[in-house]
Amino acid sequence: MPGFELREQPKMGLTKLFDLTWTAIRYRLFRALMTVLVITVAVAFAVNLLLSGLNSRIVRNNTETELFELKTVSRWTSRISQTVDKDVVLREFAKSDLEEARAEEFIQFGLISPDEYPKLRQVAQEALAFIDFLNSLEYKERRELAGPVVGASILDHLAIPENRLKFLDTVGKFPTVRMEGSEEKFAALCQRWPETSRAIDAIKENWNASIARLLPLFVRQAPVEKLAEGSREFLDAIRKAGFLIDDLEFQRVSDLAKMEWLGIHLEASFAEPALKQALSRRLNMLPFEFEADRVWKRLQSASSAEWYRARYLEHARERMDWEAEDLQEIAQRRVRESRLQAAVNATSDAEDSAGLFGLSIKMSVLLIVSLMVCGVGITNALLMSVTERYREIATLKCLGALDISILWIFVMEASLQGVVGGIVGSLIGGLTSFAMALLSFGSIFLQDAPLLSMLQVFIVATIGGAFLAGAAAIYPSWKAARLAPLEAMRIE
Amino acid sequence: MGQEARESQSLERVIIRTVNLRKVYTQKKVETIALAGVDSEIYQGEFLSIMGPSGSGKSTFFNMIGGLDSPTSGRVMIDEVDVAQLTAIELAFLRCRKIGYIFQQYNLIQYMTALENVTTPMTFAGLAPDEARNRGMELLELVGLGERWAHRPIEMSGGQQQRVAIARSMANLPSVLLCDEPTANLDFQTGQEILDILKGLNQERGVTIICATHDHRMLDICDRLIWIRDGSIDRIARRDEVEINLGSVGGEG
Ligand SMILES: Nc1ncnc2c1ncn2[C@@H]1O[C@H](COP(=O)(O)OP(=O)(O)OP(=O)(O)O)[C@@H](O)[C@H]1O
Ligand SMILES: [Mg+2]
Repeated sequence: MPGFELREQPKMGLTKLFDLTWTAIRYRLFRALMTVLVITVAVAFAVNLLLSGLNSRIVRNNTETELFELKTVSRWTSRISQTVDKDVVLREFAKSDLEEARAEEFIQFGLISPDEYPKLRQVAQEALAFIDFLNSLEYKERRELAGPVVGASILDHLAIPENRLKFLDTVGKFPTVRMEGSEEKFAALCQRWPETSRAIDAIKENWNASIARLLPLFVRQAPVEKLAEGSREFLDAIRKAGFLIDDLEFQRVSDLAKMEWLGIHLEASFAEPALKQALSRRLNMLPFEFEADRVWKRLQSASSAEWYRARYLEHARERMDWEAEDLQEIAQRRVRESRLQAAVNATSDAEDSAGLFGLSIKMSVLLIVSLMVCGVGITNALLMSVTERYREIATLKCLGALDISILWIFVMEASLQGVVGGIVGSLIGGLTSFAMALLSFGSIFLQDAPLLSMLQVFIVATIGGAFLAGAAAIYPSWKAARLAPLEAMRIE
Repeated sequence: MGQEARESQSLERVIIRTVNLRKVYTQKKVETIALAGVDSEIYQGEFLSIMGPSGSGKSTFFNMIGGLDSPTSGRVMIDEVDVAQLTAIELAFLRCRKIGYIFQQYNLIQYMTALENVTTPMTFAGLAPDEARNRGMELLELVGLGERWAHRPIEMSGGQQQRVAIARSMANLPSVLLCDEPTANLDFQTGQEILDILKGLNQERGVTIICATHDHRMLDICDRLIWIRDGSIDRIARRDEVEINLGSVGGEG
């Protein structure tokens, strides 16, 4: 005759609990898959958003450095031939840390002591950021804040303390305008500005004076042509005028300028009637559709380049000496440049990286909101799938399940769904963002696809999904497991 | 014989005792008094029937003495231990091995096969899977469902589900079996079989059986009867006393 001495109910091993969990999932497969689907969609959405942001930032960083290289010649021509105003100088000065020679040149032009230079450049960078901030405002707001002045002179105005205070006052009136950084930092910028302003003025004077000395050389030949010629005398003239350039750099620029000059010549040749007609026929374009960009695109192949060379030799009025490979290379550079430029334009909102993970503020806000929506979605899906099973929880309790076992069963099921949803979701989100980047940036994206950060995002999303789902199941299942069985049966 | 039985009764141990047991359900501010202060004693090894009209509180009483629901006031003592004093883990142990339940609505787990339903309490008790399987099959054969071990509840008739529930209630060989209308959904023949099974368990294994029922055949096999009416005990009688008044019982049922 069994007596009633009570002992403790043994805890169940995880494998047995998993068996029970798996039995439940298998039978309710459709329901379980629906929950997985919700998690998948939520995770895919968040991952896609995050990776798209990261992708366009990476594309932007890469394109900017490459574009900088591709634009070497045009940078040099404008440097030695185009008179500058204060805003251009400010911009160039703020970015002068990119090239050592450039920094030195500015130190000489501005009569700055080398020790002062980093400090002044820092101020210039802050000033530039401030001016860009003003430019980003709506016309009405900018007008109210800065009056009719544009560019660097606004800072001259704000250097006077009263004006600054008035300005801050006006900013306070616009709820939509937010200035980055503290008021102290802004005050420091305004105070340090006059000194920097003087240096920039000096740079401007001397730079323009140097250009003035070179201008007579460009009366009969364009600066590109002069650079392409690459003569010793020209190099000496540049140096004497006050620009810093070493032999090696001059050689490099000159080689690039040769291509550039040839490119300009060839582009002009496309418009010659006989050649234009030949090109239109070959490329299957109507004359009014004729565009240099499209011609360059088609001339990238060796056969087309060869073909154009033959036509050129036949028809061109003014001839230069070139090989088919030269044309091919120029075409490729041109196409690449316009592609990079398009990519830079398309990723303009990735420019600021003040938000999360180095994303822009706008993107970060979007990401946070979407993460919250995903969180609520996942939590709700799990909450539903547990609450519809309170009766089952009650029955399991009647059969002698420990509260903790019930908790385990449900948390395990939810986490399992979370893992599957997380993996599938991050795969989908990753692939779609990859495809989107590939579509809009093409090969530019492929060469530096951020595979490592993609992998990180996958792992984080999978763990995050499982964790969130598991956590969401804890509350309802613990609530039901704690109660007496019949009470649990009554809460639906 | 009556004298003998009365003597043996006083020697029997009280296994479940209720003291002024009350249960009030409050729903939408309407109070339903399901049990209005029930004092009762249930003896070890007896076969007890609880009878009463629908809505009289049989199921509620059943849930209370099985430790499945908490009373509004009063106490349930199982083996002289107040159920309210037990820890969650001891309660789980009690429900798992000491009491078997057969519910009015079967409460089978829908996603488990008949066999899995029967072996789940064994798994909770820590039995090895092979042993659980063997014992589960034995129990299913005992209730005549050996062939249908792989069927799920939705693939079975109400009576078959009821039999799975009986097999499940016996999983860990409990010393008390609580049955809420075990024969309500069964035809005459099957009902009789179930009653025979219950009687057998009571007589051969000494299992205390408490049945809430409308089934008059129960009168033949039970040792004692409790009538409940409107949440209170109306009458308690031994079977030999009842047999004399069978006519009046029939009128009440
Ligand atoms: N969860 C609940 N909430 C509110 N009232 C309830 C609840 N469960 C039962 N009741 C009420 O308590 C009373 C007793 O119900 P109980 O289920 O115990 O009756 P019963 O004797 O088992 O009836 P039956 O023979 O029909 O199964 C009834 O009046 C019922 O309406
Ligand atoms: Mg009932």
